Amino acid sequence: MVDPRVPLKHPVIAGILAFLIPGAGHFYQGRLFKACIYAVCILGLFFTGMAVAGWKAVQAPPKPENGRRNVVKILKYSAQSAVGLPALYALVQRSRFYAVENVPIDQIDEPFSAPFEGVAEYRGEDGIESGAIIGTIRLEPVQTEFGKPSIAGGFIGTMDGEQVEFKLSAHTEVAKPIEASERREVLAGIVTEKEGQQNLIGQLSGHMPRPFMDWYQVPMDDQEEQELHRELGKFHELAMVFTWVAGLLNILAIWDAVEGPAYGYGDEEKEQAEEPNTTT
Amino acid sequence: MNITWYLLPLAASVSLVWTSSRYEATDVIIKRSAKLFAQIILFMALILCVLLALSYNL
Repeated sequence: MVDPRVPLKHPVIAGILAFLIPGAGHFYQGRLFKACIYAVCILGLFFTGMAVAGWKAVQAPPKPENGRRNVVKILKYSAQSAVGLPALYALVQRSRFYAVENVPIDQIDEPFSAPFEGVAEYRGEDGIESGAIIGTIRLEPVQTEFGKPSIAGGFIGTMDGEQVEFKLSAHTEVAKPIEASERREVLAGIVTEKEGQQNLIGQLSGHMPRPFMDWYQVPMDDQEEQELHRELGKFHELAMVFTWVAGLLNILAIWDAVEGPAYGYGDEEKEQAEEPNTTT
Repeated sequence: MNITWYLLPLAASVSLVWTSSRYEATDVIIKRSAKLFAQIILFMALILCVLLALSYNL
């Protein structure tokens, strides 16, 4: 029997709200102190874990390979998903990642520029030159000599500290739009133009930034996961523990929103202790 | 930052959420959370001491 002083309102609605956003169910019920505790503690743990892992602690389980499900990853995500909306976005990212249109692109609709870092190697006047480049890449839609849509453009920046400018060939490849890395790889040929003819003189490879919402909570393959583990070491486990514990704690919060506190209001022991005094 | 310091917010959050899901009265939640927090930290400290003793001179 729930203590009549606990305002559960509509427990099912409160439970759903508590699942979606920790603390929201209690806020709806007017239990503000508890709403604050649940929101701060659970979301605090979850986002601390995320931040420690470079915002890569949560991924929905990958698609089954050869009909075999990865049970460990399913269990990991099950615990995290109890945090609600902050973790459920991983399911959206999973469907975006596995969508048929998420493939490396070789054509674009609009030109765009982005910061770029990488390496270039080309045949210059003094022989082969190579080095690290940093600057801005500009990609634009073009048509190849056979009329096929493609990507070309240019790069302006520095190579080993010296100002350089490259024209890129019409066979530039850009990595998938949705991937678990904040870096989007680009591979392009460097060309020069003489008498209207383009000559391939080298190659440029590197990466430009990928928008946060295109890599956040996107499923990682085994190699990416091992790389993250190598980078973070024991902090990776810490981050996972924080996000799992946050999810499991929210189950307690959901239960509290639906059923009320497990042991009662909390002042029953005091009342029982006071009762003999009041009767004598 | 040493990874051990992360135990403090973890223990504090677990104590607060666990106690909040058991009771409704604010003062009871705070008192019992503080007690549970101290118990967790003391228990972990005890385990640390045991591990240190076992690894002495290793």
